[in-house]
Amino acid sequence: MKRLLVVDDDAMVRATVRQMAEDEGFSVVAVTSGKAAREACRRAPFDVAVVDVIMPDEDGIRTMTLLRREHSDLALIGMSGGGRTGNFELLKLSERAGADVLLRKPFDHGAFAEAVRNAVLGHRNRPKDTVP
Amino acid sequence: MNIFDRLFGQGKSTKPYPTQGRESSASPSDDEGAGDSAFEAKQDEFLHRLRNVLSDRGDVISGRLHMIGLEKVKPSFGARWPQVADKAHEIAKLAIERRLNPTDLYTRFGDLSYLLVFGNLGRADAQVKCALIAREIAEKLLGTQAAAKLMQVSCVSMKENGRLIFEDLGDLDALVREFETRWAEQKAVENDVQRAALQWVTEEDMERSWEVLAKQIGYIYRPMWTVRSQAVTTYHCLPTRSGEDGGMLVGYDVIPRDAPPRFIPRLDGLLLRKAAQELTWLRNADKPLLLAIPVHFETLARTRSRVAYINDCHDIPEELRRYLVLELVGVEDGIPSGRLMELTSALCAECRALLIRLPIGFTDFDAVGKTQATACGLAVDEPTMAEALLFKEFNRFCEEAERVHKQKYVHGLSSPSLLTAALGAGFDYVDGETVASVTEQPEAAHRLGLEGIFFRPESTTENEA
Repeated sequence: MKRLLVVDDDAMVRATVRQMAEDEGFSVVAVTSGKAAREACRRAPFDVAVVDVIMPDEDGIRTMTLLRREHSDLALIGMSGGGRTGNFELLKLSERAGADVLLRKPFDHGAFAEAVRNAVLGHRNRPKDTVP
Repeated sequence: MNIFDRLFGQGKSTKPYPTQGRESSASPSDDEGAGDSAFEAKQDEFLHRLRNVLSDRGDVISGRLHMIGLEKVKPSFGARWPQVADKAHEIAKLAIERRLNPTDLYTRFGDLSYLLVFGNLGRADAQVKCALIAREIAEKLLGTQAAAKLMQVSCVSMKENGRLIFEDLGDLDALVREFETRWAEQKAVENDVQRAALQWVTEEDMERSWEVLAKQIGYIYRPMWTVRSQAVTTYHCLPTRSGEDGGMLVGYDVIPRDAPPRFIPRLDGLLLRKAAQELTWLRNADKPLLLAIPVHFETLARTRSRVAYINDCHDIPEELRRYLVLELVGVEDGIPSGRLMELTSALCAECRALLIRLPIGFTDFDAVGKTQATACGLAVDEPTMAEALLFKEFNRFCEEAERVHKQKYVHGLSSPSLLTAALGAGFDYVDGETVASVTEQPEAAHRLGLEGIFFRPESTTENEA
């Protein structure tokens, strides 16, 4: 079974992503911070990580940058609602941080499933030298 | 801290004097001067109830008894009043109970009035407290403080023949404003007295110690990033000094804690002169740039130092002042809005833009909204709360500032995560080490993209994985 890691400080988002990912056949681990995400990835490999951009103590951009460095095989999805003002410029930075796919909140099951498929596919096709 | 807490200390939810059911339909104020038997009966009934209320308080004197009436509020509800009356009274009761102290009493009087007795307040303070309670009731009932105009507040006194006189207090807002000003002046005097008591230096000693201190002060410049244009167009000039432990003191921390209070306006004067020098240099170097300096509330609170500061501003040529931004700091929650308006309008005329720095948790944004300030902001240089809580504060702050049509800024963002939260919350201007490092000289205005901020070499160095 493929493994998916969801990283978000919001419990409701974690629960939602977990449900959607399990429906897609993933085994899911949910964590609340970037640091916990890196520890989880060191313990056992994941196929996909869905990382929120706006998080306390370590933002998702930094988390993705560090995950990408340590785990080049990990498909990364940067996820954000852009905060109170819907600032999606932050989400765009996820690409520079190594995200394969960007996912705007709120999203439905279809958008999530497509994002996961594209991330896995996109990551396989991603030239290794583009990894920051 | 809201105006009640500020002016009167926090009221306690004391057990209220029990209300005794519905009363006769007219309040005494309606019938004042009438001589019919119905009025006499009502007045007797009122006196009886008043005696009940005051039975264990023989020290009540004229000026402590007030009445809040809802007569003019009732028509706002039209035919719905019978349905909403109970709820309206419940709201009024809760507002009153929340604000009374253990030494105060109240009782419902008639269908639409409440009598309040303040045990420990003088006449003027009791009137203001009553006006504030009435304003709060109006706001809760009708959704706006402006509805206070519909509230009737009367000061009740008793004639020798036992008849009651209801003296309408008139414009509640004017009453509150007048009190706010009086309170602010009194507070300034109290602060002066307290500080004077702590002073041990002579005038000569003080002058000498200021001169020594002034020679130790240096300056740094903090670039402020404009979110929308993704550019640095403003530098904040901050005083610095080496502390006894070798660390760098920044801002008003350069003034020793035991220094006389007049060092604050002295420092502000010094900053103003430094700003004038730098603005001259920037003009000569053809580097158009906004230069911001702080000015402390303490400097403006006293007439003498305020006038001196404004005069110093005037001394700067107007073509330079077009690039000067002033940031009012030291504003506390609960500052009387009239006072804030007065002080900020004096500053606005002297600079390109006025910023007001507010403490974390500040609530009285309506007062800020009434000023001519361009923006209001926060400083999180030394955060006292977890980032997750700061995130919520950022959102709340921006929401409130936008409600009163002010731009928002935040100083001292020290981590990329705080920066993402600040950008998501909607701040218009941000600064801090995570945005751009401080400089020893203001540099030319320049573009700085988001990628340039987030992917600076030092910000992606892995030291903490």
